[in-house]
Amino acid sequence: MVKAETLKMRVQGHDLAYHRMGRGAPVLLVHGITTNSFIWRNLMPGLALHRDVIAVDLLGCGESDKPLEVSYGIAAHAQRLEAFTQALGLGKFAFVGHDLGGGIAQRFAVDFPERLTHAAVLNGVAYDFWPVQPIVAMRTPILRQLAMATLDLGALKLIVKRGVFHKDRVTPELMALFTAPMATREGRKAFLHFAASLDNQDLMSISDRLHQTRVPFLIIRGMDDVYLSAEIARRLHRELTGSRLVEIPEAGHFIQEDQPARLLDELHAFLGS
Amino acid sequence: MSPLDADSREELLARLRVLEQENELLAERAEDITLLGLVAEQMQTQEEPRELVTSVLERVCVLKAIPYGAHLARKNQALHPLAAYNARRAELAPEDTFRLRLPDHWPLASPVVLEADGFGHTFDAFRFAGPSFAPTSLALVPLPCPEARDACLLFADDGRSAAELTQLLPLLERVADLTRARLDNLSLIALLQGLNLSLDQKVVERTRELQLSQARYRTLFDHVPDGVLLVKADEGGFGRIEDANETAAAMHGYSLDELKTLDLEALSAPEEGQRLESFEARVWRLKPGETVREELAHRRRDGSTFPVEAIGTLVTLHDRQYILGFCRDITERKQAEQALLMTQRSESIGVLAGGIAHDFNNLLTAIMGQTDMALEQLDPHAPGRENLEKSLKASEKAAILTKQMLAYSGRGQFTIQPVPINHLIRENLRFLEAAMPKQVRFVLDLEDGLPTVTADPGQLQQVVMNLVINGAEAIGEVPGTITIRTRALRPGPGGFGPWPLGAQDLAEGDYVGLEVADTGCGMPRDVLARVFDPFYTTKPKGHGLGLSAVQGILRGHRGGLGVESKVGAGTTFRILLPAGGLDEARVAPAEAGATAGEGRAVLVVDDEEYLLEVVSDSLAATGHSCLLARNGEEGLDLFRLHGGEVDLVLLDLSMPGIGGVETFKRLRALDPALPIILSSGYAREEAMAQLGELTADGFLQKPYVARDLARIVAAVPLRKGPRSPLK
Repeated sequence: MVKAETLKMRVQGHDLAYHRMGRGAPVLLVHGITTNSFIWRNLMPGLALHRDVIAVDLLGCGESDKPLEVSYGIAAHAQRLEAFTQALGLGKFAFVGHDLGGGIAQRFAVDFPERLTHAAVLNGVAYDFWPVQPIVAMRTPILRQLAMATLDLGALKLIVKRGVFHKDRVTPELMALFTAPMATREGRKAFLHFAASLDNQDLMSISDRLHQTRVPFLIIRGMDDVYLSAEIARRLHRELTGSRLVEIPEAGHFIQEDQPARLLDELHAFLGS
Repeated sequence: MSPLDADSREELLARLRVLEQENELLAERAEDITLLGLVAEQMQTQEEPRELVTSVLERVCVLKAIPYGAHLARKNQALHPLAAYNARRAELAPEDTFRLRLPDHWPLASPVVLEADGFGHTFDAFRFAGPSFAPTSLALVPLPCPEARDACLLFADDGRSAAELTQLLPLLERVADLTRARLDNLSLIALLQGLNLSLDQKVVERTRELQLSQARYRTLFDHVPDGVLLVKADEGGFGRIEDANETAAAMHGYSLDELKTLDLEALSAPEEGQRLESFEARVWRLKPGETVREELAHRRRDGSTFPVEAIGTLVTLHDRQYILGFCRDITERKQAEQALLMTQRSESIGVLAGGIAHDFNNLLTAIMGQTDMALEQLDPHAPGRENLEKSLKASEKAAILTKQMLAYSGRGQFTIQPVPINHLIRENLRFLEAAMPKQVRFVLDLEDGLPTVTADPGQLQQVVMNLVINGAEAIGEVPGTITIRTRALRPGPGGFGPWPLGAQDLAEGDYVGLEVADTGCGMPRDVLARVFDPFYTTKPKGHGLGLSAVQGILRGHRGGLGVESKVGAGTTFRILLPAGGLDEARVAPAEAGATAGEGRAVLVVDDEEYLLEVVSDSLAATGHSCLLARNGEEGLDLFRLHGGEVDLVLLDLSMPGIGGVETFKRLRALDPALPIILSSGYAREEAMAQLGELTADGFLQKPYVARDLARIVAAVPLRKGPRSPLK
């Protein structure tokens, strides 16, 4: 793993942590739930050969601040990232989002289309992916599992193992990256607040505007992702005019762990050299 | 498969709903078990009580999706959080308070669930810190803890109804039970740790005290002047030295560590002759409180031996038997005893010699007196006269021998006066040089300004002569030197320094030292050890009285005598004589030129029959009369009968019965002016000393001849007053 220096940027009263490598057209890498910027460690050096690559920790995740009185919903994240990229002086950039980060990419493309050159959605959420509304959400199986995962590292390992195709890659070293944020009560509370903040409404409300976007979209799906159905990717591809869909075999939800080289190829092809 | 009809579909859907509900219940049950497992796991950690309760609250709140949980303790009117978990706040909020309506109802007896409408029955008001939070139900579960017996858990939900929360109560109670047990444990552990800590401190303190005490004991133990040994006395190492003190180690020439690796046997020196039983064996048979005391020979590391007085007793330490032995090095005591023994022996020989000499003197007095008288009556050319003269000469030689013996016994004739010793030596040297062989050279090293010594010059002369003759004989035929040295000396605390005399008791004061050193053959140790013994001689013609006479003379003068000799290098004799003036002689000089005069009446008291005879004959021959008494009583009786006629008394000092001194006193009591002349074989000084305060009118040294008797009797003035001549 490339251990790039952790940088901090003050956005809307809170610090966001990020890593930055390379020179060229800027690319923003945004992680999803249960991970943080570490998930990009195998892709960053390759991408940084021709680009200015920024991997950010969303608020409440990784080394960023973890306030509980602000929303960790998709729309709120999109707004914060807009302010963050402004603060960095990025101008137009490519947005690469995984899982929830893919949802934020869609919201960003709708809310701030003038900021994006490209948008890539890797195993991303979309539409009404999130089964129920927030308050009740804590009773839902997925959230129960996530809650359990904060307290029981065995449960977290199950989640990770289900999300990786090459099970042998779920090493203690990888698990340490996943479990690090759960080591403190503050980290656990932020994680649960993150999960509880997710509201389908944030994406449902933009579905009409989304398929009118002119931002070029790449949709990548790990064919063995057990958490998000193939239908989500295919519907996005159908509704986003000019988008490209790539379905990669032998790849689970955490596709960066299963197929980093293939992903790099696809991103290079999509973003252009 | 044919499409289902509506009824069947409804039925299936109903069954599906039942299954879903059951699944939901099972999932809840599994979740509860997981929660209890996680709580139980938390109990295994070492978290302190507050953190532990917070972790438990977090687990319950996270898994049961309850936004707020707290552990509250009552303080007067309100409940305050000891620990809290608020899913919507980062920090514990101490400002969370719940004001009670009826605080008297606390502590809480059993768990309760309150719905929003019923909050008011229990609480006046409550306040949560942070974002507005409006609970829909509250659950209260008692959780007493060591710091607050009326504490409870409170869970606040803003989604569940009271009924829904009530379903969680059994789980919450179980969690509270687990937590209470752990809190009690932690409290006991803390108490125990506190006790352990104070116990540790006590152990440290006691250990230090013990160490000090041990060090003190060890110092005392090591500095005891006697050697102390602790020796194993049971199976498994009988005789092994278990412990000892430094004194014991030093005494035997070992280090303490070395000594503690040895057996007692290594310290014992084999003794001559077989003992019936060893010291250890005797100690081993002792009863409690008994001791064995014995003089033994011990061996040092270098093989030398020394005498010890050993005291042993049997002791029990830690259920094992030991011999506790004390040993004292008695080398010095033994030497002193040996010296005392020597002195006693030489004194007893002296007494013997003195006694024999005394009797000889009496006999010689008779022999010489009778012979002398016979000669006086014989014609100068009478036959046999020459034989009598030879007999008288031989008797005179015998008298010289008895004089030597008396000198050895310290009872020779003394005429004490101040003697300038350097002068005496110079005077005699002329004779000495003439008498000595030519190869003997004399060196005089005489200190000027010496004090005089109080001595009999004749005896002192005899001492110097004897020593010089001894030296000359040691030099023999080869050339050699005799050095005579004198020094003024005063003994310091360590004795006379360069004048070593051995173990002799000398009074404090100034002394004059006289040294006679020869360069002769010297003496081996065995000869040296016996050199002063009477009748011990290495010379073919010696009678072994020369040096013993010197010793006797010095004893009589309260002086010291020492000798140092090395074979082939020579011998040095050193003597010490007390310096100082002469006491006024208590004996009035009985010198008078008269040999004849008016006849005196003499009472002669002597236990020797033959002596009475010769005195009687002598006195009669010189015109005196006499009364004869064989002992003191008889003398007194005669004096009572004829006191008025007696001019003087001739009194022997050594008599059986009331003795000379007592007789003297009684005679003087009867007649204080009565002249009494003492007669004795012992020295005049000694004889006079026996009288104490009384004064005799004269002294007649035995053996004496008729002339001496006649002279001393004639010197006594005639008594006045009426008297009748004696028969």
